[in-house]
Amino acid sequence: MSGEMLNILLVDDDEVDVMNVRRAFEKMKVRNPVFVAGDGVEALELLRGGKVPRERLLVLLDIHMPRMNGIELLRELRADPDLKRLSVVVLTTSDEERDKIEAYSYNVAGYILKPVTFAGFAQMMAALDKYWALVELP
Amino acid sequence: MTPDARAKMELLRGRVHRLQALIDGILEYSRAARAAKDREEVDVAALAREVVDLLPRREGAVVEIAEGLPRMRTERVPLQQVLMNLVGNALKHARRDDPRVRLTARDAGDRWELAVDDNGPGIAPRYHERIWGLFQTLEARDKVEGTGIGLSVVRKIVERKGGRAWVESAEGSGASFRFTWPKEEGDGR
Repeated sequence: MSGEMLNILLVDDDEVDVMNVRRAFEKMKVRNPVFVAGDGVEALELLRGGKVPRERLLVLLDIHMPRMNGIELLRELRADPDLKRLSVVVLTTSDEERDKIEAYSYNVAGYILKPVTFAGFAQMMAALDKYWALVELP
Repeated sequence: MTPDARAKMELLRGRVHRLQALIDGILEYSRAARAAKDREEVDVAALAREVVDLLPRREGAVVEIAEGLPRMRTERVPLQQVLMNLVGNALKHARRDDPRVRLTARDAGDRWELAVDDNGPGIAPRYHERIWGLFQTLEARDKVEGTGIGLSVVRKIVERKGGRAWVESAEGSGASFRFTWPKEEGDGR
């Protein structure tokens, strides 16, 4: 897979989760820097401030966070003409039906329950890779 | 131990403590719904002093208990819990070396309105409702350790007493956490 070309914005307030995702990327030889935001407010600042490239950007999004949670961030993203097409995968410990339904209603590309298994993660990345290849066909 | 291993051990220790705090918090939250126990004569000023003694001591912090706090016939433990959580929060989130917390009371007819004021960083109005939600924090737990349960417990207890709990604050200028508490408790509560 062409993981080299991927930009990642990880939105998560938990340093252990951030550590895990970094490790997963190392194992998968994804060398791109992982941008990290501690909650929705910070993520919006990074995205709108142009501090994170928007091309081939994958947003990995936690749900329970301070200030602005994952669902609220999704709402903001989808209402913003510049950001509404971003690919977002929810990465959360929340197995609540309500969170899943809401996340999918905001058109997320995936919903992964933590702790993340490498297999599950790799599968999702491969699927996204295919999707991007299709989208970027001339 | 290598520095890396030590850092991981510290992290692990921190997480175990957080887990403990979460269990305690959830227990506290579930107890907040319990039916009223015996009422007794409570001197709020004395109760507040106890609360201050129970909280971890912080160098440079001052908790002022104003004159004129009421005595009332009420359930002691829930009121103590509410004061504990509010004063504890004010100290914990002060973000300064000289936190000042002040407890006052105002006669509001059939109830008392109690206020815990602080000189901390304040809370922007858009978060004034959010903070009462269960597990909700405004800062990452890795920065300021907390479960996000304390204020939910406050609101649950106060509302069970037929009262109201709210915050008045602007960003940068301290916060005033307020709640009402009935002067007379009916047997139904």
